[in-house]
Amino acid sequence: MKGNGKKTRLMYWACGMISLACAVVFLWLMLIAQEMISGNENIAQLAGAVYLYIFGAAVPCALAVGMLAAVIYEIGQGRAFTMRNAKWMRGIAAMAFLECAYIAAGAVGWSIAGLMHPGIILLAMTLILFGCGVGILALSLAGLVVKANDIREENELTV
Amino acid sequence: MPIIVNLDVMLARRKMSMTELSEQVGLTMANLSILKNGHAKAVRFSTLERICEVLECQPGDILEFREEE
Repeated sequence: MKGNGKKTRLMYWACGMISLACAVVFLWLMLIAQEMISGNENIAQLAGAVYLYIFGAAVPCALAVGMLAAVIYEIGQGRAFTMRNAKWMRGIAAMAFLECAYIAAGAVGWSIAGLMHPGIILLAMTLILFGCGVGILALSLAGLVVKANDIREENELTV
Repeated sequence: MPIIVNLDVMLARRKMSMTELSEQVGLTMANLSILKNGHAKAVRFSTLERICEVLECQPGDILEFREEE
Protein backbone atom coordinates (compact mmCIF):
# COMPACT_ATOMS: atom_id res chain seq x y z
CA MET A 1 0.00 0.00 0.00
CA LYS A 2 2.86 2.37 0.89
CA GLY A 3 4.54 1.55 -2.40
CA ASN A 4 1.33 2.24 -4.31
CA GLY A 5 0.93 5.65 -2.60
CA LYS A 6 4.48 6.61 -3.55
CA LYS A 7 3.90 5.45 -7.13
CA THR A 8 0.69 7.49 -7.34
CA ARG A 9 2.44 10.59 -6.01
CA LEU A 10 5.30 10.13 -8.52
CA MET A 11 2.73 9.70 -11.25
CA TYR A 12 0.98 12.96 -10.35
CA TRP A 13 4.35 14.71 -10.17
CA ALA A 14 5.25 13.45 -13.65
CA CYS A 15 1.92 14.66 -15.07
CA GLY A 16 2.34 17.99 -13.34
CA MET A 17 5.89 18.50 -14.62
CA ILE A 18 4.95 17.63 -18.19
CA SER A 19 1.97 20.01 -18.09
CA LEU A 20 4.15 22.74 -16.61
CA ALA A 21 6.81 22.22 -19.31
CA CYS A 22 4.16 22.51 -22.03
CA ALA A 23 2.72 25.65 -20.43
CA VAL A 24 6.23 27.21 -20.27
CA VAL A 25 6.88 26.42 -23.95
CA PHE A 26 3.49 27.88 -24.86
CA LEU A 27 4.18 31.10 -22.92
CA TRP A 28 7.63 31.33 -24.50
CA LEU A 29 6.07 31.09 -27.97
CA MET A 30 3.58 33.80 -27.02
CA LEU A 31 6.48 36.04 -25.88
CA ILE A 32 8.29 35.44 -29.18
CA ALA A 33 5.10 36.32 -31.04
CA GLN A 34 4.72 39.51 -28.98
CA GLU A 35 8.29 40.51 -29.78
CA MET A 36 7.75 39.82 -33.48
CA ILE A 37 4.55 41.84 -33.47
CA SER A 38 6.14 44.81 -31.70
CA GLY A 39 9.22 44.73 -33.95
CA ASN A 40 7.56 44.41 -37.36
CA GLU A 41 4.75 46.59 -38.66
CA ASN A 42 3.57 44.04 -41.22
CA ILE A 43 3.27 41.35 -38.59
CA ALA A 44 1.64 43.80 -36.15
CA GLN A 45 -1.24 44.18 -38.60
CA LEU A 46 -1.81 40.44 -38.41
CA ALA A 47 -1.37 40.16 -34.62
CA GLY A 48 -4.70 38.37 -34.25
CA ALA A 49 -3.73 35.76 -36.85
CA VAL A 50 -0.35 35.19 -35.17
CA TYR A 51 -1.95 34.61 -31.75
CA LEU A 52 -4.61 32.39 -33.30
CA TYR A 53 -1.90 30.34 -35.03
CA ILE A 54 -0.03 29.82 -31.77
CA PHE A 55 -3.22 28.90 -29.90
CA GLY A 56 -4.01 26.47 -32.70
CA ALA A 57 -0.60 24.87 -32.27
CA ALA A 58 -1.34 24.39 -28.56
CA VAL A 59 -4.44 22.22 -29.23
CA PRO A 60 -2.73 19.01 -30.47
CA CYS A 61 -0.05 19.51 -27.83
CA ALA A 62 -2.66 19.77 -25.07
CA LEU A 63 -4.45 16.66 -26.36
CA ALA A 64 -1.16 14.75 -26.47
CA VAL A 65 -0.36 15.78 -22.89
CA GLY A 66 -3.83 14.65 -21.82
CA MET A 67 -3.26 11.25 -23.43
CA LEU A 68 0.17 11.02 -21.83
CA ALA A 69 -1.41 11.75 -18.45
CA ALA A 70 -3.90 8.92 -19.09
CA VAL A 71 -1.04 6.54 -19.93
CA ILE A 72 0.90 7.56 -16.81
CA TYR A 73 -2.25 7.05 -14.71
CA GLU A 74 -2.75 3.53 -16.12
CA ILE A 75 0.90 2.67 -15.45
CA GLY A 76 0.51 3.98 -11.90
CA GLN A 77 -2.49 1.67 -11.43
CA GLY A 78 -0.38 -1.31 -12.51
CA ARG A 79 -1.94 -1.60 -15.95
CA ALA A 80 1.11 -0.75 -18.06
CA PHE A 81 0.72 -3.25 -20.88
CA THR A 82 -2.83 -2.87 -22.12
CA MET A 83 -4.43 -2.22 -25.50
CA ARG A 84 -5.85 1.00 -24.05
CA ASN A 85 -2.32 2.31 -23.43
CA ALA A 86 -1.28 1.32 -26.94
CA LYS A 87 -4.28 3.24 -28.29
CA TRP A 88 -3.34 6.32 -26.25
CA MET A 89 0.24 6.14 -27.52
CA ARG A 90 -0.96 5.89 -31.11
CA GLY A 91 -3.06 8.96 -30.37
CA ILE A 92 0.01 10.81 -29.05
CA ALA A 93 1.89 9.90 -32.25
CA ALA A 94 -1.02 11.17 -34.35
CA MET A 95 -1.08 14.47 -32.42
CA ALA A 96 2.70 14.84 -32.84
CA PHE A 97 2.49 14.34 -36.61
CA LEU A 98 -0.52 16.65 -36.79
CA GLU A 99 1.45 19.30 -34.93
CA CYS A 100 4.37 18.88 -37.39
CA ALA A 101 2.02 19.28 -40.34
CA TYR A 102 0.40 22.34 -38.71
CA ILE A 103 3.77 24.03 -38.06
CA ALA A 104 5.00 23.20 -41.57
CA ALA A 105 1.80 24.57 -43.11
CA GLY A 106 2.10 27.69 -40.98
CA ALA A 107 5.74 28.19 -41.94
CA VAL A 108 4.90 27.89 -45.64
CA GLY A 109 1.91 30.22 -45.23
CA TRP A 110 3.84 32.89 -43.35
CA SER A 111 6.72 32.62 -45.90
CA ILE A 112 4.32 33.14 -48.81
CA ALA A 113 2.87 36.18 -46.99
CA GLY A 114 6.43 37.51 -46.70
CA LEU A 115 6.27 37.65 -42.91
CA MET A 116 8.85 35.00 -42.11
CA HIS A 117 11.92 35.60 -39.98
CA PRO A 118 15.02 33.33 -40.33
CA GLY A 119 14.92 32.65 -36.58
CA ILE A 120 11.29 31.53 -36.86
CA ILE A 121 12.15 29.23 -39.77
CA LEU A 122 14.85 27.61 -37.61
CA LEU A 123 12.43 27.33 -34.68
CA ALA A 124 9.79 25.78 -36.94
CA MET A 125 12.29 23.24 -38.33
CA THR A 126 13.41 22.34 -34.81
CA LEU A 127 9.83 21.87 -33.65
CA ILE A 128 9.02 19.75 -36.71
CA LEU A 129 12.05 17.52 -36.10
CA PHE A 130 11.20 17.22 -32.42
CA GLY A 131 7.57 16.45 -33.25
CA CYS A 132 8.56 13.75 -35.74
CA GLY A 133 10.88 12.24 -33.14
CA VAL A 134 8.11 12.17 -30.53
CA GLY A 135 5.68 10.67 -33.06
CA ILE A 136 8.05 7.91 -34.11
CA LEU A 137 8.92 7.13 -30.48
CA ALA A 138 5.26 6.99 -29.47
CA LEU A 139 4.40 4.70 -32.42
CA SER A 140 7.29 2.37 -31.59
CA LEU A 141 6.23 2.25 -27.94
CA ALA A 142 2.65 1.52 -28.98
CA GLY A 143 3.85 -1.46 -31.02
CA LEU A 144 5.91 -2.75 -28.12
CA VAL A 145 3.00 -2.32 -25.69
CA VAL A 146 0.76 -4.38 -28.01
CA LYS A 147 3.30 -7.22 -28.01
CA ALA A 148 3.73 -6.95 -24.24
CA ASN A 149 -0.07 -7.06 -23.84
CA ASP A 150 -0.22 -10.31 -25.85
CA ILE A 151 2.52 -11.84 -23.69
CA ARG A 152 0.81 -10.67 -20.49
CA GLU A 153 -2.56 -12.10 -21.56
CA GLU A 154 -0.97 -15.41 -22.46
CA ASN A 155 0.86 -15.44 -19.13
CA GLU A 156 -2.32 -14.68 -17.18
CA LEU A 157 -4.14 -17.52 -18.95
CA THR A 158 -1.34 -20.01 -18.37
CA VAL A 159 -2.33 -22.40 -15.60
CA MET B 1 -10.71 -24.28 -28.90
CA PRO B 2 -9.70 -27.76 -30.19
CA ILE B 3 -8.26 -28.96 -26.84
CA ILE B 4 -11.05 -29.85 -24.41
CA VAL B 5 -10.35 -30.24 -20.68
CA ASN B 6 -12.55 -32.95 -19.17
CA LEU B 7 -11.98 -32.16 -15.52
CA ASP B 8 -15.67 -32.59 -14.64
CA VAL B 9 -15.65 -36.22 -15.79
CA MET B 10 -12.60 -37.14 -13.72
CA LEU B 11 -13.86 -35.22 -10.69
CA ALA B 12 -17.15 -37.14 -10.86
CA ARG B 13 -15.31 -40.47 -11.13
CA ARG B 14 -13.12 -39.69 -8.14
CA LYS B 15 -16.04 -38.12 -6.27
CA MET B 16 -14.08 -34.97 -5.66
CA SER B 17 -15.17 -31.34 -5.71
CA MET B 18 -13.41 -28.48 -7.50
CA THR B 19 -12.56 -26.94 -4.11
CA GLU B 20 -10.88 -30.14 -2.93
CA LEU B 21 -8.96 -30.43 -6.18
CA SER B 22 -7.78 -26.82 -5.99
CA GLU B 23 -6.54 -27.33 -2.41
CA GLN B 24 -4.69 -30.55 -3.22
CA VAL B 25 -3.20 -29.35 -6.50
CA GLY B 26 -2.31 -25.91 -5.14
CA LEU B 27 -4.18 -23.92 -7.77
CA THR B 28 -6.63 -21.12 -7.06
CA MET B 29 -10.31 -21.66 -7.88
CA ALA B 30 -10.01 -18.91 -10.47
CA ASN B 31 -7.21 -20.71 -12.32
CA LEU B 32 -9.03 -24.03 -12.07
CA SER B 33 -12.15 -22.42 -13.55
CA ILE B 34 -10.07 -20.97 -16.39
CA LEU B 35 -8.77 -24.49 -17.09
CA LYS B 36 -12.16 -26.17 -16.77
CA ASN B 37 -13.99 -23.66 -18.98
CA GLY B 38 -11.47 -23.89 -21.80
CA HIS B 39 -10.16 -20.33 -21.43
CA ALA B 40 -6.61 -21.38 -20.63
CA LYS B 41 -4.04 -20.65 -23.33
CA ALA B 42 -1.39 -22.96 -21.89
CA VAL B 43 -0.91 -25.51 -19.14
CA ARG B 44 2.39 -26.08 -17.40
CA PHE B 45 3.63 -29.67 -17.21
CA SER B 46 4.04 -29.22 -13.46
CA THR B 47 0.34 -28.34 -13.14
CA LEU B 48 -0.71 -31.28 -15.33
CA GLU B 49 1.52 -33.57 -13.28
CA ARG B 50 -0.10 -32.45 -9.99
CA ILE B 51 -3.63 -32.83 -11.41
CA CYS B 52 -2.89 -36.34 -12.70
CA GLU B 53 -1.32 -37.25 -9.36
CA VAL B 54 -4.35 -36.09 -7.38
CA LEU B 55 -6.95 -37.55 -9.76
CA GLU B 56 -4.88 -40.73 -10.32
CA CYS B 57 -5.24 -40.56 -14.07
CA GLN B 58 -3.34 -40.03 -17.31
CA PRO B 59 -3.10 -36.68 -19.16
CA GLY B 60 -5.18 -38.22 -21.95
CA ASP B 61 -8.02 -38.78 -19.48
CA ILE B 62 -8.23 -35.03 -18.89
CA LEU B 63 -7.21 -33.60 -22.26
CA GLU B 64 -9.06 -34.32 -25.48
CA PHE B 65 -8.50 -33.05 -28.99
CA ARG B 66 -11.66 -32.29 -30.91
CA GLU B 67 -11.28 -30.90 -34.41
CA GLU B 68 -13.17 -27.65 -35.07
CA GLU B 69 -15.96 -28.01 -37.65
